Amino acid sequence: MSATPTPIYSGPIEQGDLFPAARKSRGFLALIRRHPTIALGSALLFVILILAIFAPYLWTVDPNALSPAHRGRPPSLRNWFGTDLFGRDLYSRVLYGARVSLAIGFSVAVMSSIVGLVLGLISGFIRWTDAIIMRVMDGLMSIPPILLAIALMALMQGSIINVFVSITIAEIPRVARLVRSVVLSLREQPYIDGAIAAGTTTPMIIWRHVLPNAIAPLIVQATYVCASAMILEAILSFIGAGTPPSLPSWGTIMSDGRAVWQIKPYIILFPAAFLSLTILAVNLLGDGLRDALDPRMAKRF
Amino acid sequence: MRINKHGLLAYIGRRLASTIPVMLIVALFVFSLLYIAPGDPAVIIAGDQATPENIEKIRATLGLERPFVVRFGEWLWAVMQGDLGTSIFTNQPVTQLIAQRVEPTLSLMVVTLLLVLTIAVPMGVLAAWKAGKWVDRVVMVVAVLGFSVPVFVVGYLLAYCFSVQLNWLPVQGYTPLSEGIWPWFRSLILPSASLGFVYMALIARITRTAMLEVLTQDYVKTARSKGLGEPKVLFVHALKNASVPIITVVGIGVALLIGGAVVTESVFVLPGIGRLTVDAIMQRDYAVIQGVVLVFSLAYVLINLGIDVLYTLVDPRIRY
Amino acid sequence: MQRRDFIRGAVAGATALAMPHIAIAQPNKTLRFKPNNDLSAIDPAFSAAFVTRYHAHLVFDTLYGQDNNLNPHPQMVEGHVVENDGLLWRMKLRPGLKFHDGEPVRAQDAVASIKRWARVDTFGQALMAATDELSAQSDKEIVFRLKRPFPLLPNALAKSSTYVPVIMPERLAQSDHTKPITEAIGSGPYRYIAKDRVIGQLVVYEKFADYVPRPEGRSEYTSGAKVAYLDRIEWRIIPDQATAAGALRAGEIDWFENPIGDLIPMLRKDPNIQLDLIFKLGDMGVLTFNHLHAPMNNPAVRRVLAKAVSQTEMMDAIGADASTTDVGFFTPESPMASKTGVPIGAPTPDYANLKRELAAAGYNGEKIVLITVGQSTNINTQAVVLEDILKRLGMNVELVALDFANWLRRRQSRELPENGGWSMLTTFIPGQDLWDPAGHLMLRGSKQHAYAGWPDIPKLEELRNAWFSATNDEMRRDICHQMQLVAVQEVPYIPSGRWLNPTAYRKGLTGVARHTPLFYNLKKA
Repeated sequence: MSATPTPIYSGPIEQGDLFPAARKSRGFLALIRRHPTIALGSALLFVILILAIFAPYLWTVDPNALSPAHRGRPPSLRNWFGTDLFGRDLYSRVLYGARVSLAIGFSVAVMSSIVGLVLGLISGFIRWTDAIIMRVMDGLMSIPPILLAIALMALMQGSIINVFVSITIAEIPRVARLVRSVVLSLREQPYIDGAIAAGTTTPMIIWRHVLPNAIAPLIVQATYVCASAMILEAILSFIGAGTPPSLPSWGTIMSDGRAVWQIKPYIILFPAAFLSLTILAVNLLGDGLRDALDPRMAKRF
Repeated sequence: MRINKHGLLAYIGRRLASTIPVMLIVALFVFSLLYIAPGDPAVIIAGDQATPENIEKIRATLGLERPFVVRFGEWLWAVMQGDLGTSIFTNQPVTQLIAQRVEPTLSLMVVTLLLVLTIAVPMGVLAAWKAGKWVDRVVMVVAVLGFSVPVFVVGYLLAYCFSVQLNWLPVQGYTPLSEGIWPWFRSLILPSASLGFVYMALIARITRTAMLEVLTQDYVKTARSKGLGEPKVLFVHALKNASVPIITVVGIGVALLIGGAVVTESVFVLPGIGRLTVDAIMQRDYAVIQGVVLVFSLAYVLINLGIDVLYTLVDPRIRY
Repeated sequence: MQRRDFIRGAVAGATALAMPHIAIAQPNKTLRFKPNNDLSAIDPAFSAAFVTRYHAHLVFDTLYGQDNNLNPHPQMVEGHVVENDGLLWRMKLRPGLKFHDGEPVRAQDAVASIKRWARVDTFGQALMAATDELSAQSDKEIVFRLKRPFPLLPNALAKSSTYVPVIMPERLAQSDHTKPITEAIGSGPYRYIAKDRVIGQLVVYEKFADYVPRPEGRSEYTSGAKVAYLDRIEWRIIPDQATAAGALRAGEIDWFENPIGDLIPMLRKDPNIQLDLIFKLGDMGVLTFNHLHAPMNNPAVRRVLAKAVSQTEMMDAIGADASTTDVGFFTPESPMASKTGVPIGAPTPDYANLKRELAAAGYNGEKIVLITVGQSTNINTQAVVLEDILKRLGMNVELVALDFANWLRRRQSRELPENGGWSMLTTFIPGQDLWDPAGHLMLRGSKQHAYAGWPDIPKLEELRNAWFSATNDEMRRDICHQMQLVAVQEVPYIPSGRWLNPTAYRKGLTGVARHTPLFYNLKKA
């Protein structure tokens, strides 16, 4: 399931505006109070990032070290989150798994933004490509993202690169449409005509006018794409079409514990909790950014 | 969106016509994907202990050796005559297979939508009404939490509580409508709840933002000053005007629903299209995959069209 | 019959969409079974899948059946007469046998069916190689004229494991053998109901009213009377183990073919559920090699690897409720099994020492590609442990996880491991299939006939051929003894233990057969 796309409507009254300060107080705490969702989201994400990056130093063991004699043990002092069905320490696996899930989320967000940006710009500026590109994008969008990703993974071997590619392909269409709509609405603006008349080259127009306007919605959309990518990856790994066993992601860990979740729920619950918190953080961040940057820009989809 | 004055029917006609290139592209894309795909149905049919000769035998009977253009052309021609081919595994016509499996998925989506609309819309209205207060914040956090939890986790949790432990609802399986409304509904409660959990968040948020925008409008103040009760103000006047974005998101959400249905159908063993597609992909049943993808894109296009038409009913300012 | 049709018509009329009608069945006359996999092929000679085997026993009948010790007994035939020093076998069909389409079973149907079966089955091929002519003397009499004595003829025709020598109508048996049959018409106690089939979800069988159970002989496994007490058999396909266990506990299904090891304790505690080790012969763990490429084409390397695998560790990893960890190359209960030279791997091997032996054997850091099916507990568990073992030996190994389709395909590839081929793979094979050299697909040395891996061990083939011609049991045992010794030396595959894998069903279900899920002679309380 993808996370929410940018909602079309966004009214003038948002969380931030409900506490109109008598005077705009400066300072970090005031910033947090004005944008609580960004603060909360970033804080959560930061914590999880730290856990992922510093995993080797946080009392973890080799996440792939198996020990069948100790399989399926509940959380204990020795194994904080318990062990999975191969006797591997779940705490270590979850922390190392964070790396994989976060890496996929971020890289898909970045790559799909770049490719979507390029495609959107091309189809917005070069009219004759618009029809073709948009038809292809429509075609891709008409296939539910999860099925598209599964189909692409079935074509290729399970590797982290292939997971990255499949999910990126599934996410590009929405970004492309977003950028295209920005471009199209900008083209209506008189100052663009003026710029063209003055002889400004298209790359210059893109650089000076389009990009600054596109960057804000693009960033917001990127956060939603990140969340969506992480969920898609979890589902792919869960049904077995995801990352290879040597690179466990949260989805893989959950998939391993799927058959015994009624008797050993911790194998699914810990990665699920981490995944949910991470996605929550990213969503909050996205919401906050959207509200802060320009509430009305969300209308352009 | 004022296109021309010939009206709605012409608009619908043009939209339908423009679906053809989209679907052709989808068809080509899918067909090409499958053509270059490694792994084929022959090995699966032959089974684990089969010899290479057996597999070759099966492969030959499936005609998998012929060139791309020939196979694509044949298939396209058949599709235009309404024949989506025959499943490699079961020799059943794909159209029949899809017809069999449409009911559970459609039922799941309808019940989910109903559930979601009856819970999420009031939630969003409530949050908008009490904007800024703790009720609002709680509702919104719960909503965001909703689509942060993977759908299979929600499914497993619900199944564990209500089926395995309490035995109130079936663990798995789908009861067709033909066997009674209540058994049918009963078999869909848990799957819809799991799927809806995620979707509820989305709808609640959209309702809230749309309502917020609307509540500042003058006509709301007018309605209030006329002495109309708050519920009437909220639900009759405000909500109707907030419907446009809500309907848009419902439309977008249907595509998301189909994706979530895939996982839900697996967890709850519903014989729907989602599972059919995943199984077909895993087994490389080309005919089924091609047929189903076409059906999906058609559904997507029709739903979008339906949404646009719905706009005109809800907001008289929108005319095509 | 008519009333059911009437109800069927009324309900079908009320349904707008083409949902298959689920008959309003009486609960204690209907069995809901969850097989491990969906039925992918209805032609027993076309697919080696286990479910097709179960399907074969439901819908078809065989000339001979087996008792619990896998000894053959006449089933569809009254008996046989052997003449000419074992070169002429005559058998007569017993009276009353009918196909599901109403036609009587004739010897011509049997002859055509056996010929079709023998094309694909190894035991059948051995039989036909020894046969001059197989014909129908009359509508009731089948005659085998042999080139040389084949004392195991009844055993071949009684085979209950893949491929089952089922008897089907002549017109189906003679249809294009490169294509599967399109209708499953047999003479067994149940009929396959094609129109109720929902792929990936449901398979339906109904009692065949005109089936005549064998009047004499003891009812055991596939021999003796096969009585259909239950009217309807439904196979519910539930891929998710946890969901299936939940369904069994809730009474939504009656019989769960193989719950994974970890679910067994929970099911055992449930007062409504009975655990039963019907697969008495268990599942034999198999770690096999691709003998075409280095380093696995080196018997010395294979010998070291065999020593490095602890059957105890493997069976622990699979969460086996019960297991055998001193397994050789034949199923332990088989008269062909022996203890000589096995098990090769100790419970806790000395990896440091083995590392040195590996170097001495000539391992030079070649890459090993171990292929697995991520989603299959059976295959994947052993693969993950094997990868770890190879790493403990300091070998250069890569574990490649594929989906089932790709795994099957890659297994057939003769390419170099890094180029889309493979070096090792893991699986479980039913103990029934490793009972003797006739069905043993792993103990081959003729390159193309093995399950996988193209082993090149001529001595094994020699001994196998000798086994078929052996005239008494003692000779046969002796030959197998020698086969095992050769196998310990040449290591065609590594036996990794035997998993005794119980089945689980609701209490009240009686008559459950041994070895294979069979659906006749079952009763529900």
